[in-house]
Amino acid sequence: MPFAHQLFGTALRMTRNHEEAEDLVQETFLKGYRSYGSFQEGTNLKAWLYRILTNSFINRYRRRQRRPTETELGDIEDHYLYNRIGESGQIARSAEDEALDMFVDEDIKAALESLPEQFRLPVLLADVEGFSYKEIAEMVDAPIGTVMSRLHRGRKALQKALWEYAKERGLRGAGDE
Amino acid sequence: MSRRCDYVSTNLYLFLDKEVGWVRKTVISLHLRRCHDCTDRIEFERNLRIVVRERVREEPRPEMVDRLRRYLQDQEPDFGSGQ
Repeated sequence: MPFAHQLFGTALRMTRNHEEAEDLVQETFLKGYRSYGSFQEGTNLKAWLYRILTNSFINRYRRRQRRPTETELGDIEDHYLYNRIGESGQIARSAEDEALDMFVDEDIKAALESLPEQFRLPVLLADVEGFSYKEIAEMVDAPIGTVMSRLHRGRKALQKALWEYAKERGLRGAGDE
Repeated sequence: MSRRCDYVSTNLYLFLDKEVGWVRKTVISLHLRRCHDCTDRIEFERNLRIVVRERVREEPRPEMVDRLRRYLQDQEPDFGSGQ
């Protein structure tokens, strides 16, 4: 079962539910097995399986939401988390990287899962699984420009969500005192 | 912040994603050798990505793969027969 564990991890972040994630992985392998003839030997098996996984997820999601809406994330500045940590005055300018240790796994999972689906998928596929823009565009069936835009906005929204967790954990921005 | 810093900031994600051509890659790499602010910013973004990747990994329940194999055998009797 190649990539079963990795596919499950991604499916879980997509669906936010253990049972649904297992169902999605089952569906992926069944479709993969039945359409294996269309897989070209020597090409990227992982990308091929992820394309099936992503398509299956999107089809399920669209079935449930008859009219998928384009969610707005608002205008978030670039380098949001880096700037907020720097402004907080509680961490030396040279130690922003150490500030990342304050996040517990659950904060990061929750921040990622808080992203709307159209932004969560590109972030998951790029930053967790390491796929290229072109591969992601094929997986989500969208132009590369759209993928880049959603990835950029998704990353900024992820940083904003992480900052909210950081504040809850006691790292307060100077303006919050 | 210089114009070159703005250029690096604008292209930072493309650079980290290895989606820039060699000209932009060279310009950014040369700038990073002499600009500590941009280097700090890019290292932070790089490390954040590593933290996210490592912390969101999730292992399935141990029985999942067995259940998956049984499911595929139920659906496709030839599954696992090497056909």
